[in-house]
Amino acid sequence: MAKLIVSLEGSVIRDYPIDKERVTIGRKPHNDIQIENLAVSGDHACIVTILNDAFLEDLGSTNGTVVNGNPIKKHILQSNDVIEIGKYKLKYVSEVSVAGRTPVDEFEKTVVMRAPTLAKAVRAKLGAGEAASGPRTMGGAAMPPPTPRPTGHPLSFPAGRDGAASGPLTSSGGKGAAASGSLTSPGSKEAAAFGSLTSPGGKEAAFGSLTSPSGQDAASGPLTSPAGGNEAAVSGPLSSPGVAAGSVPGPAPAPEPSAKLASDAATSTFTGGSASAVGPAPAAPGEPALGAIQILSGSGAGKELDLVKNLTTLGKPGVQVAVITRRPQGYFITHVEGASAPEVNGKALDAQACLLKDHDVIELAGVKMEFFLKK
Amino acid sequence: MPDLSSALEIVSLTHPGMVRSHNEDSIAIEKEIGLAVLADGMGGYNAGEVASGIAVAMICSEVKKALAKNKTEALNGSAVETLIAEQSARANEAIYEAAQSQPRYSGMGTTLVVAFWHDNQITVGHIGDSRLYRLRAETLEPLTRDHSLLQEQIDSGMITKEQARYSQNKNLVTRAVGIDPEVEAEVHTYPVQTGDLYLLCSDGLNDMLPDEDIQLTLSSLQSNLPLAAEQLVQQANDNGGRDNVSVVLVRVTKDFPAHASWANRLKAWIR
Repeated sequence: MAKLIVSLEGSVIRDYPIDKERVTIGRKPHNDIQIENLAVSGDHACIVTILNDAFLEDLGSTNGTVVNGNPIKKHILQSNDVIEIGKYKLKYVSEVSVAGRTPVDEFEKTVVMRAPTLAKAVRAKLGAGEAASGPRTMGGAAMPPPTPRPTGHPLSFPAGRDGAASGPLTSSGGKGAAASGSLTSPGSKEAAAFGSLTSPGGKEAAFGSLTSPSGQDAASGPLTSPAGGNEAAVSGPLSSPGVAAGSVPGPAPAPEPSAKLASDAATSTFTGGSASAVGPAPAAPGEPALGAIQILSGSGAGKELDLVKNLTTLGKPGVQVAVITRRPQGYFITHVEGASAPEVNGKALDAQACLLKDHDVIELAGVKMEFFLKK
Repeated sequence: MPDLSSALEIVSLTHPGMVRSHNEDSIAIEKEIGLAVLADGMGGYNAGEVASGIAVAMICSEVKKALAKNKTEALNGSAVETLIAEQSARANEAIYEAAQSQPRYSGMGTTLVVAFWHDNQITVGHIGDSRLYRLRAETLEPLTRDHSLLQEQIDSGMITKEQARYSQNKNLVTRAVGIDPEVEAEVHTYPVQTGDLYLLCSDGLNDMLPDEDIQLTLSSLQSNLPLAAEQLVQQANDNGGRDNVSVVLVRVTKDFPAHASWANRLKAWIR
């Protein structure tokens, strides 16, 4: 269960469990968490809990509510958020997150919310009067309760189906086991039945012929900036490049990417020493160095481009394009389109993504550029 | 029905992710008829992939059958919508009955997104939180609206889209196939333009990767769909890969009217 730890000027005053759907905070005595201080409004804020989410809402207080230094009206509390009300600090601690969400499967598996629960959750927040969207949002609730249906024919589709999947399930008992056997191997059934899963091998085949380098006219503007500006392109856990650089060099379509690809890397992608030896000393842990490229030849010589996004495409569309991807393990370059593959240090790229090392020289569409890591 | 193989370029990829031991997502593609189906199963042990497998297999074979029956005349828009809704309902019944009759399948269910291209249109049906996006002229737009608690909260104004990113309630769907005796698919039809790129995905992608990154990936790599699919899955995994990740990318390379125009038919005949 979540709780609030109330402290004043560094000393803890009291813990309050968040054990109700709605916990109120304020100066008046009827509040669940009463703080007798004139800087606190009579009804200052409240915390509404809906399943796993706790919403903090300021109830129009005079002096406002601040979370982690930012004033808020409404905020979804994360464990260890610090709420400031006047001089008081209320630390929100959610044991769901703190006690290690070990069985990820338990917590994060998709779960169906049955209509009654949903109705309750939505109603709890909306209030009965303003439930304008109620009838629609609760479409599920309007559904009649499960009615027992005749069980003589469990499946109602025509009998002469060819679909291997549903066929066996129409029968009962022993054959059911066979059915589950054929259905449970992930992917394989669908692949066999429909030939639909494109294995990465398909891509490799497509790229197989694209290895011969050919002379390209110097592109005047070699950098095509990908559309859609988003600065905050990099999210997720970033580990230090030194540690991770050698581990997963390629795209990861295989079921056990880290283990399997790590060994692939050792045999195929890298010649000689591990990447971490070549790369720069890791900066602070969890802070991989920012990569950039500098144009060395052509009209754009001298220009620099910081590689801040997850993906940066380079080259001339329709002629030769490569993409540099920013990953926790470092930067990788991959051929995207064009009859010939770009070169890194004079060697044409193959279908695999290639880990870029500090001061690697890339040549594409006739333009040379250098990749380097900023400290 | 016209063969759509030449009008659509389709690529798909599915991956168990970095945390789960097995993949409960199922994908099926019928390029000739212009059908793509993606389902994200749920339920203990292997029941999740049983449910998603049944949904995907049934819808594919039934839609195919229905089209074969109607081969002389193309289905019109509303007939297609009815077909998708009916077949989703049937898949629901099949999964529900299997779950009721066999203890080890008890409680299994699946989300579903069905995309069907026909007569320069796309009809999309969905149940749950698997999505269809469209990239048109560099703009990424979702064509489905999740049947999930989070979406309900966004719609009712309780939280903003920005706040939704931090919600712990991402995994609660309000509609699923196979859980209740009846379920209704939400079905819509949209006009298609040449050059459109469609993405069907399970929530393992969009929970791990913000829409801006999906947009960036699709718009910068649309000349190489296999690479785009691979990069989407890889980014989801780099961000934690908490769930199975499945993507189907469909690019419309030319128009596909149900009836060739009179002039075109004449031209073909003269040739």
